Amino acid sequence: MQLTVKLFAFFRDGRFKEEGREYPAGTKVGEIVADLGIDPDEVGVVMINSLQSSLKATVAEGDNLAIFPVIGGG
Amino acid sequence: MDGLRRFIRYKAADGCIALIDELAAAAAFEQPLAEVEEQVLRLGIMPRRYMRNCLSCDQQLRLLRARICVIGCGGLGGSVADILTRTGVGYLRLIDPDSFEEHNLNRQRFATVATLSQPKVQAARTALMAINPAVNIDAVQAEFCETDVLAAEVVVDALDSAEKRLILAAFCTKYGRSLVHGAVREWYGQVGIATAANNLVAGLYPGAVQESATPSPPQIIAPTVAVIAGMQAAETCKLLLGLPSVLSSSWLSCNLLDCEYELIPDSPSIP
Amino acid sequence: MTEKIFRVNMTDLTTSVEAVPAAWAGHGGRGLTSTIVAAEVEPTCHPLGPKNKLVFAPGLLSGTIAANSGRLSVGGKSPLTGTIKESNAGGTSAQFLARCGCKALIIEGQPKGDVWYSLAVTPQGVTISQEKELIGKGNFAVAETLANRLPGKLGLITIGSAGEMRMASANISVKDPDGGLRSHGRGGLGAVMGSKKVKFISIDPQDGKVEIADTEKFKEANRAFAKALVDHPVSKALGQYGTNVLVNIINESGGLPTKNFTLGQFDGHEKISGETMHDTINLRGGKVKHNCHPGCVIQCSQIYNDASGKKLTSGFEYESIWAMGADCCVDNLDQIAEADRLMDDIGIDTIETSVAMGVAMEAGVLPFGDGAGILRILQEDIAKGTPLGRIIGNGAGSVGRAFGVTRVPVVKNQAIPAYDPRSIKGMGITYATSTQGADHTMGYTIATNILGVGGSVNPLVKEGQVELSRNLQIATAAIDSTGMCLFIAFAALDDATCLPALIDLINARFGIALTGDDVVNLGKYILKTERAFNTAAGFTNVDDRLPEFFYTEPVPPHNVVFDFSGEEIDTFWNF
Repeated sequence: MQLTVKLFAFFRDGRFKEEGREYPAGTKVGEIVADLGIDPDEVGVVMINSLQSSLKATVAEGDNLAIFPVIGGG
Repeated sequence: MDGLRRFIRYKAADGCIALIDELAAAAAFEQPLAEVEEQVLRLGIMPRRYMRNCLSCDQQLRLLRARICVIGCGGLGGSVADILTRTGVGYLRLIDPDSFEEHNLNRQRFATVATLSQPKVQAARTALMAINPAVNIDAVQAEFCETDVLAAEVVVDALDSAEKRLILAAFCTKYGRSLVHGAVREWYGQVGIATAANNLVAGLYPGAVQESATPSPPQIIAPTVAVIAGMQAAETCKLLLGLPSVLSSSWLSCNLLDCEYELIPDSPSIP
Repeated sequence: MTEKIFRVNMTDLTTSVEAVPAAWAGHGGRGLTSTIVAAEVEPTCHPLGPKNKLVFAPGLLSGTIAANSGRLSVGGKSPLTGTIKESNAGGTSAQFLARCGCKALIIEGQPKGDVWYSLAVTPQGVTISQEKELIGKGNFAVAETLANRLPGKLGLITIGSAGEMRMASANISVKDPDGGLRSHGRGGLGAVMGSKKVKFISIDPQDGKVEIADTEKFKEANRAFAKALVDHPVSKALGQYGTNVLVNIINESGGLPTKNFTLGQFDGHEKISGETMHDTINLRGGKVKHNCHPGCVIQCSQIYNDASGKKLTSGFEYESIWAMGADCCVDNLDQIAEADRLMDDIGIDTIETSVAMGVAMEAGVLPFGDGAGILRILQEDIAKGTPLGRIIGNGAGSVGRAFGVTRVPVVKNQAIPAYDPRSIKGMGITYATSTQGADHTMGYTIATNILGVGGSVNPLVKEGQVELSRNLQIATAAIDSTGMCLFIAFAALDDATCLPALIDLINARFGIALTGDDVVNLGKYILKTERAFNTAAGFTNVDDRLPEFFYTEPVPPHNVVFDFSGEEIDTFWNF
């Protein structure tokens, strides 16, 4: 299935800003994160079609997936 | 009080009053400077330092009477406190257990060569009082506690640990206090207003429990701190003045490198 | 620098810097602490609860170059006596607080959890810090650790483990210029500081200075004042032998309370005397003269080394030596010095604790003369807070009640110090009528009863004692407000130039025109303010009495009892 993945902040370093990507049906967000070589502990907000979601959620054909890192400094 | 008001009117023929006259009034009538400023603003007179604030006397009075607690007094907290002090917020409570170290000098407002090894809150208070002596400042060098949340109407989250941010958010929910969240990392930052309804902080830090496994402090560059702290201070003032904010229903993700500023609507977290 | 009131609320951890109310402006030291306590503390409150307040105030002349002006007053409601309390001590903190522009530091409220804090005072106000490392540590460890942690020469006010455990004889220690400690000894205000969960207070005056209205007049008055002090023979004796010069004098007079107040002379007096101490210090390379605060010209303090030449203790006072020595029948000055150091470290009043040991000896807890036993109980029980340690740490009255002893030398539950009230009757009047329980410094009739200072009143007769004590208590209350050490009183009583010079100093400092009458009225006002607090707390004239045994047991060698009727004592307050 085809979906759009958007990365934010330093997740873009060495990757991309926004990309159409192909994954098998039933893929979970966590698997996509792993596929992109992102440490899951670094993941903050995950959004599917502008609704807050989680690593455990399953994506569907045509979804917009946005992945934000944890920003924690003060 | 009548004598004090007469004195103020006499010194403020042009609708403004100079600090030196406010200090003279405080000494002559044995009142704290904050009380003098309260009387000044109630008379519709603007202290000269606020002349260019684009706020009315009523609005300045509202800020003067406000009680704000800034949790964390490093990069974000120091700059937020600086801005709120200049804007005229009457009470600031600064909470931070740490002292300044050399690696704070790159971005923390009150870290100077002279204040290295001083408690951050103490150095901050000394500097803030020199900026605006009408502001009351409590400096507590300790981890925050519920008392701190109770002491303020708006709490500013300028912490550097997700775990602590979650505890602070829980306190604010418990006591119905607005929490102005801000966080920075490298060229990126985020700001938002956490309420009992939006559960913002829990959504931003889904993995906070494991966070202790990655203790290395984040890289942070000063411009990011200035931007996010400025936004936190602005949101704090807007909350106090009852001005509407788009951040009451969304949070803002900032990317200074790509100049992207993205509003992300609040949404209930899906497990 | 304009003087302000610094206030810290420990309930909600807030601080403020306030203008000085007009009614407090003319006060300092004891006059100010008592005025504030009377105005702000509910007299019936529990001394260790959130309603009590702890008030520190430098004297009117503290922070100036005036000789001997470095005394710091601390006030509150005493957990030992239940009365109002003011205790003053030397060290550098009074001068530093004054240079911070701090006219008084008020600590109020109480935190809820078991979290400890420290306070940092600067001219900008007070910062509250959580403290973990030093909790449970003795005063010397606190002073040593902070010397490294906090850069610069700071003032330090601290409590030891006794204060943390809220023992009723816990003291508050103040660092002296050499890193030694002076104590706000009497009345257990260390327990009040502990109840507020404040382990220590650091004071950094930065470049703060005390303003002098008329610098030239001030310097001139100070020259006359300092000369009067150094010229007086008692001042000279204090410098040479320390306050311990009194052991042989009081023993000779028959007024040296011995073996829990059963005798008036101690066989071992020579071994613990000021003369012996002086020779021992010289032999071991200690210091005979030492000042507890910069600017002291009397230098009654000393540094006492052990046999190997290592510093054992400083500020080794007659009353401490008497209490551990004659009252407990210990004639080993080294053991007494070791106990003095331990009590400084634990942060407990040397008079109260030693008199409590004397009562414990009478109860059979340990034999009279058992110096090693005293050291063991200090280390193993009091420092660690065992049940026995807490009984003794809560004072002589506490030991008497716990063990059913009737010969318990206390007034208003505070231990009677080093002068037997039967054979030195003026002191009996002072102990009975003092607003703060038995305390020799409230009206030191020894001056006139024994030392021939300010005239002479026979210590064994009743005539003149009430008037003597009254005049001295009034003068003392006024002196305690100036930040001056009480030892200026000897010169003030004998040298006609001394008191006018002191008044000139105050006038030049503030640009005012006080007279001698104003000073006397100040003293009267303080005593009446303190008494009004006690009355509201539930004290009556019947509390102004000595324990029964002083009326029924004659003390040798004069074989006299205390023979003032209640009505006679009550005439004290006719002013």
